[in-house]
Amino acid sequence: MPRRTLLALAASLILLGAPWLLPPFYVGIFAYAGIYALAAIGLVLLLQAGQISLGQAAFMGLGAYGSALVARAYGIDSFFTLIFSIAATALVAALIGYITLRLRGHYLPLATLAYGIALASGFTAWHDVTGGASGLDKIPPLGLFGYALTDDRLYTQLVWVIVLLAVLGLARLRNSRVGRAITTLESHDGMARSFGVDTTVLRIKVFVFSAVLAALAGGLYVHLLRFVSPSPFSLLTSFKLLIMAVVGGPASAIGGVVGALTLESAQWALQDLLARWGATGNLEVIVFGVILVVMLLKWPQGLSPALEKLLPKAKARRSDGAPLPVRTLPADRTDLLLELNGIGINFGGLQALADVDMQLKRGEFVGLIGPNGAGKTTLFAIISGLLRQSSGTVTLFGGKMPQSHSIVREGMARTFQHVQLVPTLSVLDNVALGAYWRTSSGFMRGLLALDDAENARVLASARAVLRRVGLEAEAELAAGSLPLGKQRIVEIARALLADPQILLLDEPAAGLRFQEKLMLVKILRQLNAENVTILLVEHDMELVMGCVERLVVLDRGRIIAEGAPKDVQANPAVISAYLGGARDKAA
Amino acid sequence: MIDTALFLLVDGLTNGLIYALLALSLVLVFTVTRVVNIAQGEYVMLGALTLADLLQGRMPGTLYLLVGGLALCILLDAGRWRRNWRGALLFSTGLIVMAVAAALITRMAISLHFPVIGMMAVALLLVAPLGVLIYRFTVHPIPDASTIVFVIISVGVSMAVQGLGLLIWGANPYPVEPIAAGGLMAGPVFIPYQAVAIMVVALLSMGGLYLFSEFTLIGKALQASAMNRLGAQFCGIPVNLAGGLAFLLAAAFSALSGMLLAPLITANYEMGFMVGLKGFVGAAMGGLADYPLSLAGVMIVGGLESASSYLASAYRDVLVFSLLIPILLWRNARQRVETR
Repeated sequence: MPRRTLLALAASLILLGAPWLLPPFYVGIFAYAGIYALAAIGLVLLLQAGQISLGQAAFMGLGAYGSALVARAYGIDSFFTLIFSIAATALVAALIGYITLRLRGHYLPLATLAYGIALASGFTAWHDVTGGASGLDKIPPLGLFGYALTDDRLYTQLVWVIVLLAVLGLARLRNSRVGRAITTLESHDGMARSFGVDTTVLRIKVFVFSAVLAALAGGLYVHLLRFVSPSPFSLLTSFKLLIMAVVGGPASAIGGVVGALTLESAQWALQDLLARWGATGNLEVIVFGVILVVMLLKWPQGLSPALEKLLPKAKARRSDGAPLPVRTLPADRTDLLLELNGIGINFGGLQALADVDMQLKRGEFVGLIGPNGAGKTTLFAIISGLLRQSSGTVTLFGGKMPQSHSIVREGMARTFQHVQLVPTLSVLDNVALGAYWRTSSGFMRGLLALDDAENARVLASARAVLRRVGLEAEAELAAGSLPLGKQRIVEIARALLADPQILLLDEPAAGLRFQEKLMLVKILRQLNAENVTILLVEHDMELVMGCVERLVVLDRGRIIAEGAPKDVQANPAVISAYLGGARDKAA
Repeated sequence: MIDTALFLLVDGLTNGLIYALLALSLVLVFTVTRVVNIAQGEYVMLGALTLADLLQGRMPGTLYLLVGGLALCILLDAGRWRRNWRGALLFSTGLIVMAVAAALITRMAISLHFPVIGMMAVALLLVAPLGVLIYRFTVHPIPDASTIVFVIISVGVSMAVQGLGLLIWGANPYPVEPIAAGGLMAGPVFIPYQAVAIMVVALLSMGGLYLFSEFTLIGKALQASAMNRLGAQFCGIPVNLAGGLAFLLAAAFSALSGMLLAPLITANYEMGFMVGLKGFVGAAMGGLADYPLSLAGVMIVGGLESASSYLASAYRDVLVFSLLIPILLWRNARQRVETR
């Protein structure tokens, strides 16, 4: 067995055995640490997706009150009421996510803060049902079919079993199809959509799952304490959970556990110390606040990377599956794939594109050139659905433009002028994102590791593509560690893995060395021979002239010339666009 | 009935204008530095408690914070001594002079029994620089961090400052004298002079900020940094100064609102946080970036708050913070119109 697995097993055994070894007073503390760890793990997942919640404790509260009140009032087994309250919390989270996560800008922290306070004050205000600020006692213990879990040690062990399952599940998720997509959410929204990720829906899913973990934690809390009151679910708890996630670090779910254990121990130690000095009130928040600020300034990745360094490396993942099925492209070269009619777009007063008409037939290899600022990248963004034109129509594969995250499904993939790789992810995983639309394992399958076979096929295909572009040796390196030229090749590999009918390349050769350029040309020719349609934006004229069969020249948002490379090269309008009106000025 | 409605209207307007000063601070800080400053409300608390101390003839605890902060500033600058000892010497001397001056002015104000307005000015002098210090400690070291990081940092700042408030002032509330006691009868409603003062100060602040940003070079530089940080930097605008200035002005506006609010509700160490958040709910209407819309937002918040404390006081905070949901729905609808 690999050493990493052995270590993980040993750590799990210690955590599971601890309740039986600790003195009774500490068993309770250990149980609450596990409960907070569960809620903090939810926040860690959220941070991985570049989101944040300042109201995590309110979701704990919903889970707690929902389960406690129903179980107390109707005498239903609390196992079922817990499930009910988790489902109810998920519904509330989905609603909140739906109205906040579609908005541009950072409304989520504010929204979560606001509902965090609204819900917490609601628990107090709805006195008749919740018992108000003084709370309600006689909450039934966790039970199923008449059996009641009243032994604290057993309960603590159950809590930690759940925590470990959550850590394991999220570790699996991170290496899955959905996990790869989650890493793009923080700063690569447009790229993720052009590879088929419906980023809004995925954001909502992540938010809901993080709320579910909080609700589960809240339910476990209340059936352990057997008393429910608003104060444990106040804003201060939300902030503490946030500190746990930050201290532990967002890199992996273990961060939530590390953070919870660290912070809970720190809290007990501090309170003890402060009490000895005769201080009253929650003065430990000063230290917590300072810890939070200093962590983010000095160690934004938290404690877990330091922990990771001490551990043996994870074993290589399975990538031995049969490659994914590939579509065979018809050789009929008269098929009209893409048609632009009168495309125009304004940014404020700037007319970036005007009256652009263009056609792309199957199997064509077209170059789009023009001076800087001519509108090439803007046109690409419109073709790939990331920008909406102000006027004109785009017809793709004979139909209307689909939503941006469905375009790759129809068969169009692209690369980006400014490289859009997830720098912390391995090259292999970055490329594997290209196969997102060709596979179907969802959030739950990733979590439960039911996607193993499919994932192996994806990774096998990704390796095959990397071999084709000559980057097989770099497969396991972090994408951000490669030089820019190689990162561009990774971009192309990812687009290839999307199995496109049309390939849009935005300056793929910028920053490439001569040998790399030769290989790029070879690959493009090969693809074209396989009937892939290519639209290429490039400044390296030699490269463009050497491969394309037709050129379109854009200048100041308008098409000024079109035709075979030779004719375009001799076109006086093109020459003046590139060299300026007077030749001698350029010389 | 009409009387009640009028009373609630005046009350709502007063609340709204208090929150307006907060919204002003939040928008200013967000547009210039991209910081969603959860800790903005703590300046409200600092302003109110500093004023309370001054009016009762005590040296305010804020002075310790200021001196401590300046000392930390000198410590963080320690690396400069080796590279450029003249600059470092000048810098630390300047800060020490500032600390001494602040202490002397405070001493003088207390022994001369300044009137309320004079004490407010001294309190502003003590609290506003704390904004710059916090900028120096938390934003300046990581100018390119993501919004999320800044949000979390401001949570930490809020916890630390609130805890320090508890350490310095304890949990007891402090009464604060109003600028002018009594009030006037406008038809059937009684309008306290303090409410009039709030209106005057809020309007003057907003007008002042407008004139400052439209008609002074520094104000224009601030606007430029708000629109495009990188562009402003290329034009030779020191964006760090702009950020510090935004934090300074924001701290001043918020502290002012705390001093105006305190006579109505007494001052205590946790009064600021909620005020700050209500400013946020209002400012969310303008997407944290639009002054007039934020003003409309806080007026709605203030009005809803007065109405709900009259009709369903237990649910006041529930209602006020749930207001964010219709505001966000409205912004959703607007966004869709914009992108079509």
